[in-house]
Amino acid sequence: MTLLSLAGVTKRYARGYREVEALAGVDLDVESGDFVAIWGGSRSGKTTLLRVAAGIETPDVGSVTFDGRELVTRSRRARARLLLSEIGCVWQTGRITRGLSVLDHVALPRFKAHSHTHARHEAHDVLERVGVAQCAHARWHELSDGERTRVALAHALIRRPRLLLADEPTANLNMIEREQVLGVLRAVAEEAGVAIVMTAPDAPNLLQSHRLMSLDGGRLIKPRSEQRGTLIDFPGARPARERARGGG
Amino acid sequence: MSVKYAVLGLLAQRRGYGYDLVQRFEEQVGPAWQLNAGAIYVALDKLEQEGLVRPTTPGHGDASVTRRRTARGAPRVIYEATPDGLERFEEWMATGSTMSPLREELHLKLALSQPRNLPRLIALTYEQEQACLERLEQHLGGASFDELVASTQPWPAIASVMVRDAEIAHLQATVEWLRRIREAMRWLQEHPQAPRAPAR
Repeated sequence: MTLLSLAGVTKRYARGYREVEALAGVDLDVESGDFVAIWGGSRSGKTTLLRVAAGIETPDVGSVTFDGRELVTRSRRARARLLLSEIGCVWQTGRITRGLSVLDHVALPRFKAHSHTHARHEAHDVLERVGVAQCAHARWHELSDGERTRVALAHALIRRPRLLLADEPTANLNMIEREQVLGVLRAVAEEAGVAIVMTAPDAPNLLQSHRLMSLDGGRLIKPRSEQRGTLIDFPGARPARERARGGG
Repeated sequence: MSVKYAVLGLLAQRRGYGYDLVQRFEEQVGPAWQLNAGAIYVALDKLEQEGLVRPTTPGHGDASVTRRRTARGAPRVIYEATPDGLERFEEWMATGSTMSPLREELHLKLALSQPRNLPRLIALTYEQEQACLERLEQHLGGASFDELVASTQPWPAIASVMVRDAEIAHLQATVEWLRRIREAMRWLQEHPQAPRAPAR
């Protein structure tokens, strides 16, 4: 079942005196259990893509549906509620709640529904899974960039979201940490059926996903096997998959 | 001709016949090489002429092991490396490696294009990027480079993943190049006032 669907999404920003097209007609369908990796350099539009998918930003043109319901027309409040319960986000500029230890920050979303001991227990498990259990009692300023990303990932995972959006979760990690994070993402998709959209700046980090695509100048480029419709405004983008299905 | 030395190396690992060598080549070097199976047989002939490999002599043990029959009934020749061959292989390992020329059809189209071709060239960069993604897709979910290097895998597994990683690195560089020239061509398209003479 398609959980997240972007159709014809275009987003422009004013940058100085000129307008920048951050996204240009992006179509993307993500199903539950799908692990999609998007390869884009800086200024490719990948962070905007995730922000639009999360409902944090509204597109100028196009529609974004989550679980069959249009996000664009929903109230800010409704969208905020989705972000607290069903859509988990890992941003590169993440912060932890002021004054809390890593453990309490990660446990925070569970404090309401569970005892604090239980919530901390759970937080510890998630931290261990993403490889930063040793940071449980640290404060934000004591963490390295790679640890911060993984704490943000733990914070997103503990809510058990149905959709996880992760902006370069492998940045600043070494070989073994990268492996661990990608392994967790893959497992979360395959075992818990979470839909994942991840961005990465280079090819090797894409390869643990189920599907890969590339984003350049706001245009989403898919492997020929996946390209449908007239996603990219160039002649010759033929709907390969539709032909293979016999015109369906 | 590097396939020649690869065949010699495969025979240095253990003896084998033509088709077996084709399979072992593909397993160890990977599909990116796009080996033409005929090249293995050409290499075997050359190596034999140079005395670097020889058909194993029937006699010790069972003759059927060394001269089994192929599907068509022809005798299947099993080769092994000679001492000269082993020495030559070691020499080859020790020498520097040559680089293949970079020959892509797209490079020719770009070189022979005119300013009026810009829209089509930009479209071509997208198509080429799609083709690269398709090739990358074949590596999806494969044994991860990081994982293998970090764990206690036997050397052949690590070596073959390193070779596969070369294709990933090449595809990445190609996509980055495509993005660069696309950005440049888009800029040129948006700024047509700059006078640009057509190619001679």
